[in-house]
Amino acid sequence: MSKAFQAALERVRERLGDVEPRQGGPAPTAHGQQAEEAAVAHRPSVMPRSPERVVGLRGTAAFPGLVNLHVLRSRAARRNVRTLYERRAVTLHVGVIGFGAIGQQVVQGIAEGRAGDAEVCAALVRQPHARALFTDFYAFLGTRPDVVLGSRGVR
Amino acid sequence: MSCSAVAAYAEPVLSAGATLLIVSTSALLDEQLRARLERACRRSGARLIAVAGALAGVDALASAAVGGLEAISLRVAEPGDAARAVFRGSAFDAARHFPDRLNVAATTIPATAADVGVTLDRGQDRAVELSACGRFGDFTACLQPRSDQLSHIVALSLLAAVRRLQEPLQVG
Repeated sequence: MSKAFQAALERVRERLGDVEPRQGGPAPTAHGQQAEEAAVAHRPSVMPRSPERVVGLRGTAAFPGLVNLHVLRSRAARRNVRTLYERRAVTLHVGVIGFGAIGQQVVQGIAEGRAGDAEVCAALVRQPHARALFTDFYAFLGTRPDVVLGSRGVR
Repeated sequence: MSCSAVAAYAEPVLSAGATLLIVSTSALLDEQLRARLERACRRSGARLIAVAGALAGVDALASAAVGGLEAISLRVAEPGDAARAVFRGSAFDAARHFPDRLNVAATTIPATAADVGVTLDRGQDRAVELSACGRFGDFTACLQPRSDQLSHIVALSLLAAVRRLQEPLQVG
């Protein structure tokens, strides 16, 4: 395993300490509020029906994934008014599905800065062989990636 | 992401508003899945991007398709003991019967919306050769990986796509 690849894995491990939903942030604008409401009206099937209940469950070990879903709902709403390009000042968080030949090269490439200002926040695998690698899809999504790369099979 | 992985994970990812870059475009041959993913994109504002992967020249192919194409062919060669033709047919059949080995064929379908003749030959050095002719003229793009694997160029394609997402200047 190369040093760059180890460094990439280390960054992913560090990101794992930040999987809790981020609190605070900028106050929602009027436009953002409308987008939020629109997102609630068109809530995708994976989103929780009652976000308030989910907030109440935050921190319980029994439903860790639900907390993540609540984060995703508001994240989807925010994305209606802010594109990736507008947010380029922020480091792009990349989730990688699959950690085979392609996935490993992608993680290494991102660690080496070949993908611009981006960092790997999680990788989804079938067999856990490091703390940074998720086997649970919704825990993986809960790391709030801006971009998800489907590299090939989930190994 | 394999075709089954795209079917399983793509919709929740897009619904969450994250941009999804995929290599396995074969999965998009499923019309129902593709419609669901497009709906999820419209709802959340996310984007689904099929990267070129090992298919060199797909940008030129898409450009030429706007003006009209007369013929498109894709030849995939892979190492093997004896030289023989493994497959001859349309891109749709190629991607359906060989979703891993001829995944590149599936990438030509959304790029051209036209029939593409695909051949898969064994017993030669690995190569992916795309040719097209039309009113614009003709072109041939051939990718010959230095190693036996195509995974390196596919990984670079994904990295380039991530970089493009952040750049104000888009080329291609």
